[in-house]
Amino acid sequence: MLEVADIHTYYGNSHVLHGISLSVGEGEVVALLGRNGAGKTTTLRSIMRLTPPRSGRISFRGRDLSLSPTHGIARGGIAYVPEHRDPFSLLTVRENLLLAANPRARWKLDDVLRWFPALAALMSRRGGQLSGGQQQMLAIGRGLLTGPDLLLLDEPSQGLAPVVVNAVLEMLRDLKRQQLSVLLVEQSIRVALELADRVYVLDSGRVVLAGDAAALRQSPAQVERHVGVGA
Amino acid sequence: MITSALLGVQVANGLAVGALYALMAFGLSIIKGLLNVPNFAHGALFLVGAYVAWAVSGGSGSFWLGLLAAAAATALLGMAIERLLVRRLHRGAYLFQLLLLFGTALVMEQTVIAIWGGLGRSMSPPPWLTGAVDLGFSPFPRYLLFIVVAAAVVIAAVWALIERTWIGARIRAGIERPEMAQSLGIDVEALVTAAFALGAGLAGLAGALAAPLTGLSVTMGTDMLAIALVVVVLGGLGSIYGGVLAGLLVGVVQSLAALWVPQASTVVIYAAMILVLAVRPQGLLGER
Repeated sequence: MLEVADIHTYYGNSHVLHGISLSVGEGEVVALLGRNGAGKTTTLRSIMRLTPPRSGRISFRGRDLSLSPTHGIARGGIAYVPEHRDPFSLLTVRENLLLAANPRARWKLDDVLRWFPALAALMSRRGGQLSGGQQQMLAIGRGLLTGPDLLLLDEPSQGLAPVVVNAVLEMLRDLKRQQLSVLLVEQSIRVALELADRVYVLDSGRVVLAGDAAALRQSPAQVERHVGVGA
Repeated sequence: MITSALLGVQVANGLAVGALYALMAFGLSIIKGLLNVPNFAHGALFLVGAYVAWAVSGGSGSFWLGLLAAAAATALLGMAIERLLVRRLHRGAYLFQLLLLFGTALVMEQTVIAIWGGLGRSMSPPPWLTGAVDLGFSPFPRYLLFIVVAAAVVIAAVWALIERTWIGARIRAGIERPEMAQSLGIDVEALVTAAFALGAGLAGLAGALAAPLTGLSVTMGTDMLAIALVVVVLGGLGSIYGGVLAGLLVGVVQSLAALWVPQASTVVIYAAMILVLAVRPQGLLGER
């Protein structure tokens, strides 16, 4: 459903993505792995046209995304949950969640609160007063309520307490069972290989390894070589 | 000898003028929030509002129609300025946007002169707003009271729009994190246009309300812009509501200063700004 073909993206004059190509199929969970600075976040930002690629082609369900502004891409069925979570700090949790909610979304507020019961007690708190884990739950919930068919998720477990990581992973497994397509940026090889159907490994803005997660689970050393020790 | 009645009238006068400053600063802050640029055409919109109100209420005989026409015309003008001019410049091209807005203001001022001439005009309030209400301790001129009430109602309505509706929540989201708001499917560009129209309409309305109070002159916009910018800084950059408080304060202080040292009533504003910024560099309600 998502086709990224040979995109080149720059920050100013700095050439960050050198011809990335990848795809995400209907109901598929695809993980992007790689070291810091490999171009994972830039790939997601390119898809949303927050940092539009200078060349190459991105299409979603056959529609060329270069013709849409960022908000049009979002309304077209792609939700982006950035690494920094970005709660609207002066809006309440309820406002944050429902601000861009789509009435035809597959998941409703109740579903989000079932995955993340901790949010229920915080509904009237301001976004700026949340802990990192609460912000992450809010950001994912907010994205899902816009009614996406594809979720772009940037390092959802980064810097979070284990209990929150577990809640997020449990939710991701749930979403996977419900056939939501996900493009997941992950630092943890273990998490990526467990959740994903397919994996792309990026290095210096290029795809250096692509394969089925099932096969790579047998030989994780192949992935580790590109991602680095300790990941 | 300064009597309590004289003091009362000066406070009333200060509140009315302050309410106009508040409307101006409120509009400036809304525009600055989404566009990140002080709207240098805000004074010219105030001027256009005054002249449109004068022309329409004079032509139709309806004071209300004049107010409405002033707000509507300046809102449309604001929409056009944002859509056709400011939008063409890159986001973040701060100096160019300032220059463009400044140039737009000059064009609007000269257009007013071309249509209505360079002479001052006077406009009287409708008959039901002449005279004074007795507040017990002091008389309060009816038209001044009307300005205060009208400004309060409009500011409260815009406050409710921003703080209590989903459109307002999206505006606040767009002000804080435009990229994130766009990523959620919010059309931030459309919100910017709407905010510019809203702020411009407030300036036009302020001009229309000011016309019977101060009379009309082609320099009224420039004078007002200088004060309104001071009021925004005083209220605190980044705070939408600080300007409302600062506007009222400046109006009253300026008006009272005129009692004792009439020559100093303009200097007082800048002295107040220096004083407040020395104590609270972030302004009255500013965050940082």
